[in-house]
Amino acid sequence: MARKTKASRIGFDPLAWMKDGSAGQSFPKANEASKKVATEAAPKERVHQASPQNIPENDNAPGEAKVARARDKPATPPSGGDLKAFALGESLTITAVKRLHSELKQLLANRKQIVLDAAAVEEVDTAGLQWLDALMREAQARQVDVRWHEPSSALSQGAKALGLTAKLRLPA
Amino acid sequence: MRVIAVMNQKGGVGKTTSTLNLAHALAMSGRSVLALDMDPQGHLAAGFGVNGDEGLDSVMIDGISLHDTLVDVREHVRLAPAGQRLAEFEYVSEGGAQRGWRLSQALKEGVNGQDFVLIDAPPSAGLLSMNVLMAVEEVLVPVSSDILALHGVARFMRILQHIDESLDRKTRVWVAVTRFNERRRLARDVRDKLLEYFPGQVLATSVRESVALAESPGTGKTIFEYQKSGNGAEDYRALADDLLNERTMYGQKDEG
Repeated sequence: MARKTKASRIGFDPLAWMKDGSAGQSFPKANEASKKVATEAAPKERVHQASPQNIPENDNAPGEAKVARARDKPATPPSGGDLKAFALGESLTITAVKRLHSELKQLLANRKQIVLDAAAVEEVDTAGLQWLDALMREAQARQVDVRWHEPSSALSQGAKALGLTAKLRLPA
Repeated sequence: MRVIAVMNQKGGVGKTTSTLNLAHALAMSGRSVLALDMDPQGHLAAGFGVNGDEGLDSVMIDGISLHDTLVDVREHVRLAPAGQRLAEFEYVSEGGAQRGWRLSQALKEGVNGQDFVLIDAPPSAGLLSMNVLMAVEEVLVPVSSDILALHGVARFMRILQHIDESLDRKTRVWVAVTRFNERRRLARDVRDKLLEYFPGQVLATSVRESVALAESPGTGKTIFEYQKSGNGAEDYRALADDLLNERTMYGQKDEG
């Protein structure tokens, strides 16, 4: 868990677990009462927010579709208890960017996590990819986690051609 | 309204100093600020130069309205002191899991119209800290430029991650580098380490080590009253601006 770092005055790195992803395996001992309060029943409104089953339909966001909740794994087809995704549609070009931008701007302001459904994307251009790059940077600045659901080959190839695969966090 | 906890498991990193001076800096920029002292040591009230015999202890233990405990300490700054009995809350047994939500409920019922709520949290992982974490959506972690402060951050982030996973939420984390001495290699290494693990989250201003910052709370004055033209005032003014505008530091590895 702790590693020595060369050429650094720090020595063992107490934050190394943040990269290992091993935080879930052990936690510091805490007062018993405080351990319980984080996991037992919370006031109703908080429980409502916390449960993925209770995420309401958003009739005002026509671009959204349900996908299964997937932590650090490729997304799977929709099923019960889903995290809503934002469908990018078929076209990721200069003409589509304006609509996409206004809808996603709202999501960025209100969500901690966004899933982009790119399964249907068939047409991309430089403007669309540049917009995605800017979106990713904005999301990072806002500490919003952005994930992909089934990025199409058109999107992947377009990003690769512009050297944006890593920046867009697309699978290599 | 932004509700921000100032937290780190390690003591002495500048939590109270940061809460005190950020509250005043934000108020001087025209924002209305509510400062809450959830640390039973009660140093925040002392830093503002007020007597804090009663306050959040009555809110947490007796259910008194938060609004009734507020004291005007500076223009646009109101303070809820810790009170003498706050430490007793750690041993409250009735209430079950609802004990973790008392501060959250108190804020909902007793506060409105503030631009910022800054909460000086205790350096522990008990019931008071849990209340703070349940009540906020943002956390500011002051990290002094030494190795043990990194251990404090690591411990705190484990707890925060556990709570966020339990509640299916993501708390926004900001890191403020404090007690920074540019001439010390260790200080630069600690800052680089923070930039490595918290990209886009380390606030742009590093608060420099300053005798005036250490002295001013003992006089009941904020740094802007104690030494308004020194490094401490300059840094906290800039740090408040960073927090206001979410301005962070770019990661640049120290090659020196």
